[in-house]
Amino acid sequence: MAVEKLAGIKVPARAEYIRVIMAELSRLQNHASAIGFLLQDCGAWGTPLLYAFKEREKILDFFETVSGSRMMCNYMRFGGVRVDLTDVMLAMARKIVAEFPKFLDEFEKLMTTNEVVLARCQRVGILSKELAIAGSISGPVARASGVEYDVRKVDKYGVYDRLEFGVPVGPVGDVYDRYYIRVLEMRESIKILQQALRDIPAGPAQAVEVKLRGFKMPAGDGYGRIEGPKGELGFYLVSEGGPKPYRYHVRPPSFINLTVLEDMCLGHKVADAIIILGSIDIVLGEVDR
Amino acid sequence: MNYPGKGLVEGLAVTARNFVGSYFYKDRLITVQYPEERVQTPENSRTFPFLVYDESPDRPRCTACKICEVECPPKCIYIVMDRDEKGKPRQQPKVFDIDISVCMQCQICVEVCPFESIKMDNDFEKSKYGRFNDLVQRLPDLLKSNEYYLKIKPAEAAEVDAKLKAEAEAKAAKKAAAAAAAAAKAAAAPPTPPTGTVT
Repeated sequence: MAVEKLAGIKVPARAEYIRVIMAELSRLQNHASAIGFLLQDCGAWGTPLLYAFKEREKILDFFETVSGSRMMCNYMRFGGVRVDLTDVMLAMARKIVAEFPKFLDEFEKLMTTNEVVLARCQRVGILSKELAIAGSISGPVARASGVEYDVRKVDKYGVYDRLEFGVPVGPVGDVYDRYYIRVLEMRESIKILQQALRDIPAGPAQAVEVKLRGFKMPAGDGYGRIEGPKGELGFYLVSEGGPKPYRYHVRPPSFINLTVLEDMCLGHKVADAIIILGSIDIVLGEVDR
Repeated sequence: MNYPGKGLVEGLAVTARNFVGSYFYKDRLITVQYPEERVQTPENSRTFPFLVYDESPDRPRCTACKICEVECPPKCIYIVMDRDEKGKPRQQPKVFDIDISVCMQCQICVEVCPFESIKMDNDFEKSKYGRFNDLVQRLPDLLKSNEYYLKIKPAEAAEVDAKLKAEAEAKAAKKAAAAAAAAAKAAAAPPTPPTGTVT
């Protein structure tokens, strides 16, 4: 996005819709595994985790059908996406979206009112609203603490201004809120997906003027950011012209969210530290870049 | 109705439904007994790169131009160009190594290749016992025939074949046109005796 902003590339509408579909499906699969891991972290061996993975697997299969790889899709391109979605693929996505709420209902029955989950998660690892803002925490962790901040709503990048969705905000900011915010966000994501799959226009999926090799950038700098499943993911880019950037910096969501772990853990048991860490939902590959 | 332990009982009902349901419903029993049963991977699925040859493994499509070596993000490709006895480049690789323990399966080498010679395989059973050299794929391991490519990715390979054929035809047509033009030129300009024009 930083590159597109800097080079002034106009992304075709179909590509924007495909991006929204892919991003929201990624959010679904990420949150599904995150809430599945919650009980795993509490010490129960994987039953809810495997229920969540069952659903996640369908989304990953869809990614594999579209882009060839399950996780590192390498699918977005400057000015569009690499391959267009065919009707068969769209039907597959619609099927996933139609079946997902059923899984969510069942999963919530298992987790949301479960006394063990409530006892382990409520009033544990509270992150205050002030600290969340001061620590520049983003994503579901910040929203569970009551910070109403979503880059999709703030920046309205892509076609998010044409789609209708809510931003759930949690009242307390404990582990349970972080879990429940993710469930609510998945429900909002399904709403977005239903709209995007309904409205997706015909047309090209890649801007014609962009080449993969020997791509000339104008000089200048740009910052592009998106609301990733784990928080604000930003890329800052300084270009001197020519194909290679002069400076390039990533604003990682997991790494910055991890910085408040100590404040959240103070005063709790060692066993609670694990579920607090799990509720931030970090990816260590990104923390340890 | 609310009673203590209601959430627990409901949760146990969910697990019980899944357990019993797995005996009756196909969508609740999703396990695949892997080595005996296999899931068909989609056509787009990709694992590691391989090199395509047309007729024989001695003449791969690869010309050792090293574009993929330069573009590869984790730098897992190593190429040395083959040379004949006089040291003239032979436009094919002598060494072509891909370290698949480093390769991140991003498909960028495939996209930048101008000769349609490097493609993505979908063979995922590549585990080895050794830690270091076993995972480096040498040129003989990487070379696979075009028939193999047509088998694993029919639609994509057919497209590539059509494109290569069109290119070859265009080249032949251009050559023929050039030859025809040269012939026409030769015919149009009668062989004048070289008088005065000494080059």
